Amino acid sequence: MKFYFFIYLAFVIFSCSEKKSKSVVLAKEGVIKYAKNIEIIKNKDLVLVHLKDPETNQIEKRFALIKNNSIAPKGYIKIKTPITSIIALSSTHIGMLAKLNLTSIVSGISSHLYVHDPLILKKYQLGKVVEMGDENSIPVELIIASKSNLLMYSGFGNSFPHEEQLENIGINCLANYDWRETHPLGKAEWIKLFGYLTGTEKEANLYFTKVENEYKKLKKIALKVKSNPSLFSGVLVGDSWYSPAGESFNAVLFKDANCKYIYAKTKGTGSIDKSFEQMLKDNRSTEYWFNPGVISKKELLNIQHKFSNFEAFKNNKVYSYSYSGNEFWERSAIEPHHVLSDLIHILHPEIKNKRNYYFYRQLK
Amino acid sequence: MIDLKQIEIGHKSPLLTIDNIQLLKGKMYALIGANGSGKTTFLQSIIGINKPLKGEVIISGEPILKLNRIQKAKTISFVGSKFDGVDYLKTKDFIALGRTPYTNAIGRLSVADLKVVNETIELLQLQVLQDKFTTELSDGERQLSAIARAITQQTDIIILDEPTAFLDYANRKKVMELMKKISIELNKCVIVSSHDLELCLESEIDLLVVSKKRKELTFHRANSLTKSELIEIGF
Amino acid sequence: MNSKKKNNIVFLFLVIILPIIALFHLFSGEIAIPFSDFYSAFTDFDSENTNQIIVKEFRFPRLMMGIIAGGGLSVTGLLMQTLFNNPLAGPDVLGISSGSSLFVAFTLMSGIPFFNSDFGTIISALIGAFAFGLLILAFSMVVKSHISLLLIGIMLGSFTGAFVSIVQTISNPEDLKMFIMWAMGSLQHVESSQLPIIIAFFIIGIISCFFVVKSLNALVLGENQAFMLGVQVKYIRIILIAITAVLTGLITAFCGPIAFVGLAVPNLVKLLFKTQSHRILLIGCLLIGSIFLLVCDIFVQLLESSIHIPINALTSIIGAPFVILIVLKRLA
Repeated sequence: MKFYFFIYLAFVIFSCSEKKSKSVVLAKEGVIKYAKNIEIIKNKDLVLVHLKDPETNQIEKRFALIKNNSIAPKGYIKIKTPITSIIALSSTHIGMLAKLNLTSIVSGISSHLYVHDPLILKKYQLGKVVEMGDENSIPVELIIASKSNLLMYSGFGNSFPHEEQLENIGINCLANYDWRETHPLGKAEWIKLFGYLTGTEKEANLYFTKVENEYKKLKKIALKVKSNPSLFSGVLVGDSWYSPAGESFNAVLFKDANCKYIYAKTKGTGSIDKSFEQMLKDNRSTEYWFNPGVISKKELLNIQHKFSNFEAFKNNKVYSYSYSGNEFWERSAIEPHHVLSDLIHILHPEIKNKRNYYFYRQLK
Repeated sequence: MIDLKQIEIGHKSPLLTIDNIQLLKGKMYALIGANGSGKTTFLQSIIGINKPLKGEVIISGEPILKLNRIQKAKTISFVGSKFDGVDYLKTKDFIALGRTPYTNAIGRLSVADLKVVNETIELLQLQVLQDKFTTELSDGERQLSAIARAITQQTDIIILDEPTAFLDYANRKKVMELMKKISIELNKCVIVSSHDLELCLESEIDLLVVSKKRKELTFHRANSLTKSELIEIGF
Repeated sequence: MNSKKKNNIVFLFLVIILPIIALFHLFSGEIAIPFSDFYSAFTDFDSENTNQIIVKEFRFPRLMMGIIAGGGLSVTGLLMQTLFNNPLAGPDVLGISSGSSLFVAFTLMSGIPFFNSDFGTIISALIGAFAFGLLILAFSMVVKSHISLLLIGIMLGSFTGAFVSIVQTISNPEDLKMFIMWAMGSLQHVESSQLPIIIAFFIIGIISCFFVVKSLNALVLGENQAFMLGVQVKYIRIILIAITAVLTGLITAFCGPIAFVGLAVPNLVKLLFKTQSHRILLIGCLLIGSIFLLVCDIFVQLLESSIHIPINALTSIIGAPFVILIVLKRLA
């Protein structure tokens, strides 16, 4: 009995010490506070990036960002930094690079129709930025020909097609799960990844701290306000009305803006769908309507005349970011404080509005 | 009834000519000729869907092409070589479709129309079949009901395009005899095209033969030709 | 005489059951609405009462559209089956519905304001349906086999489907949105203000059908025999295509594509009434078509809270096996 216990103890100690020896190499300084789908660990001369599967929250891929020629630790894929050429398939990637004044290194995009950044559009017209199409059907040749260091994709499906072959020829594929983050600051925090990838981590961290402080400040202001208006969100698609679920990104924004969102207590981080009848029943007299996905009341009526039954519609309290379209998608992820500022100033007019809204406008 | 004078029939180039033939009411004619001799085109000219290259088909003093569609439908009826039957179409309803040119806009049968239909059914002794679906009939029964349909159309002229082609001997004989009886008793002009030379000769009816050498439609009184003579002229 | 009596009993049954199902349809839905609100929605409408708004603006137009789409599509199916002498014909299988989809796609994504109006959408759906109707008619002159004609119709469908997706990729995202809304169609998109124009087109279409009943009856014998019976086959063909275009275009414009109703219901009606009298078949199609689609939509609504099934999926689930049955029966 004793003997077995001894073995057991030895085993535990042994395994612990093994773990420890590994972690000596690894954990020095975690730099992520809000984001759930990424870990960045800073070491002396390398930065470790762990991407987590948003569903299971398990680490699904490990990258080592290394500046010199040394090899990556076991189990890690090396990315030699700073990268000088990147294929950025999502608007948020472009927005974050723009914040770091780095859109010049973008070599590929999915479609110019969804780009706002003037430099990229100009380079696209000159043929220096390549349009690659939907991320699940990009021709491999196009990626290879672009001679980029890194391909950043959204990871809607599983891994990127031909990922291994591309890595063999020196093009790393990295899934950016910022779109699965449920906290606005968590989403913005992904800028740190861009910082470490491009050698601008100082600027990135500085910027994020600024956003974080601004966001918290605004949240406090909103909490002090007495008014607590109600709002609903989204629009009818087919027969279903998709609204942000209670634990989703948008629901957090609504909460931080101090308003009553009728589906705030629903479960889930994605969206909930309701029938049109149910939506009318629940929200006919709700005060505000956000994010209808169009830019005019006339357009709403064109889609569905029955929208006119909502009080928010009658009272001209419908607000949309769609005026800014691509600009919104590029900037909102990295400027959550500006989105929150818009919401707060719309919902609580008693707070004196110093400036125009950043993204939102009232539907006319 | 039908006046055919100095007519040339064909599509673009002439297939056959007719010097001078008159077809009368109360008579039945067999149209005989080799394949490709222009029998079908001839029938089409009589119906008025093929314009003769020369001359006109005159029916009761009126060129057929001048008749409107209702007048035409009240003058000529047509029985094809095969009627396959139609799902859920009852034999009686099928026969009643012969009244189409006479009924009102929504096709409702008047008492008079129904009387004609019932009389025809009695005449052809189709009482047992009238409530069956056309798809349930035998080939012979279907051909009889198609003839009944033509009779209810109450036209002076009935054209049958190889009506016996798909029938057995007994039914072929029955159809020919029936048509002959109809032509006499109902005083109609009946034209039957056929490949069956013996049947036509046996039926003792007038023959319209497309002569092979001259490419001309020739008229031969009943019983005036033997089989070998007929073959000599037409084939 | 006997079958006439039987048919009358069936008609009586249908005429009684339709309002019952319609009433049931009005009451089904995610939200329970008391009868008093139903009553006052029609008598003394209060625009501040959510329940009454739902009855007047949601339930009632949806019901009307169900009746119109079910009856209308079934009637067009009947017309096509008789015109092409083909029990498997219908506006959807022949590609006529695809024609209206294509034109609606073009016009919605063209960004031209006229086509963003109800009238504009109907007109473009109607023109599309008519153009494709004429196209399939032209094919039918060359292709004699039933199955081949259906294959051509299905090819027209795939062709337009592909074309629509190409148009989608090159059109601007805002116009695209309008089209996607439309393409996901359902009975629910109709608004009470649109009902008068829809009902007007529907009635014109249906009444025209009764004017060609006689020709339809003769057409079952084939075009040649119909011609000999005094039917103006050339004109009737165009008229039938035009009526089909009006009804299909109208319904497709407001409900999006609804499959199999036009194919399955006329066959069901023929099976039930066992006749080729188109006066009876037309009325049968109107009644049974309406009932069929309303019942489908009741299922859609009853399941709404747990799972959302598009009406088109439900009609296909019921319709497709039915079609296979017809084919098997024909082969046997």
